[in-house]
Amino acid sequence: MKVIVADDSRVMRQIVIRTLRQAGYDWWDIEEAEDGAAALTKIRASQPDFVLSDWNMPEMSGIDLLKSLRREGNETPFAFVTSEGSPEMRRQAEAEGALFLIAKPFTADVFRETIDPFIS
Amino acid sequence: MNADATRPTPVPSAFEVRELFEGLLGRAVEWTATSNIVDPIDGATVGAYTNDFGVVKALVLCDIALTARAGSAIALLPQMGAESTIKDGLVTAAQFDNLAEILNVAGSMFNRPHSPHIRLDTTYAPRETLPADVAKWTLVPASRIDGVLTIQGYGEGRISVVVAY
Repeated sequence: MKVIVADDSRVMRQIVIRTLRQAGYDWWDIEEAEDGAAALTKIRASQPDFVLSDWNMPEMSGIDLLKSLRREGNETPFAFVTSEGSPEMRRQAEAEGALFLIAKPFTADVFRETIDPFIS
Repeated sequence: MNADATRPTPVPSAFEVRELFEGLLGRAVEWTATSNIVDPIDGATVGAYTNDFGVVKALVLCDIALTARAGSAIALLPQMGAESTIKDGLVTAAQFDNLAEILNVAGSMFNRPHSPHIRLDTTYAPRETLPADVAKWTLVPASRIDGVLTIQGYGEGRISVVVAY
């Protein structure tokens, strides 16, 4: 399964990937993107099965990335991992078709409980 | 600001602070309470959190030891590098950036249902001049929690969390 993790913080990308592995998704083929625009380019090129994205990023925010994908008819499953998870952000994410929003800090258990239902 | 912000911003518990670091660092972290607060004059990384109107509502201060050790541990940088930083009193750009990332996520400790929305606005490096509206909260005696965090494999450093009132 090919997955793209988008976050402008390199260390946060490492933490997300480490937590995914701890949650049991060590079989995922993970590619990193350093902002929304880079993620858009990589998603178009490598057609991943799933995208996990931060919300606040330079160049293109996570929500704008999701909107861009949907506008061009790209229905790649998409979810957020963000440092803020306000009700308004959750509502907006859901309205744009995101599967879920995980707020930082997170644990491997939270990842597993949230992601597993969508994989099965 | 959310319309139903009817509760004050909480001072996080020691448990929440420890959990935050343990979760992000991916290694065991211990908390020891102390009355020895982090004073910016000794060198400290300071995260300033503001509400939606830009008013400072909370601070997190980490001394140079915690900046170096947590900033190294989170990226698996060598522990020896952290020790050099502490000896010389000069944090590296990577250690500071990494700690800033922790402080960004630390904003979650202040946001609860029915409390005002606040977020990390600025992270000040050790010995950087603090604006007056930040500096005035650093040493207040109340509405704060102070402790020593001991990071497995890296060692300890001090942290102070202050909520403006």
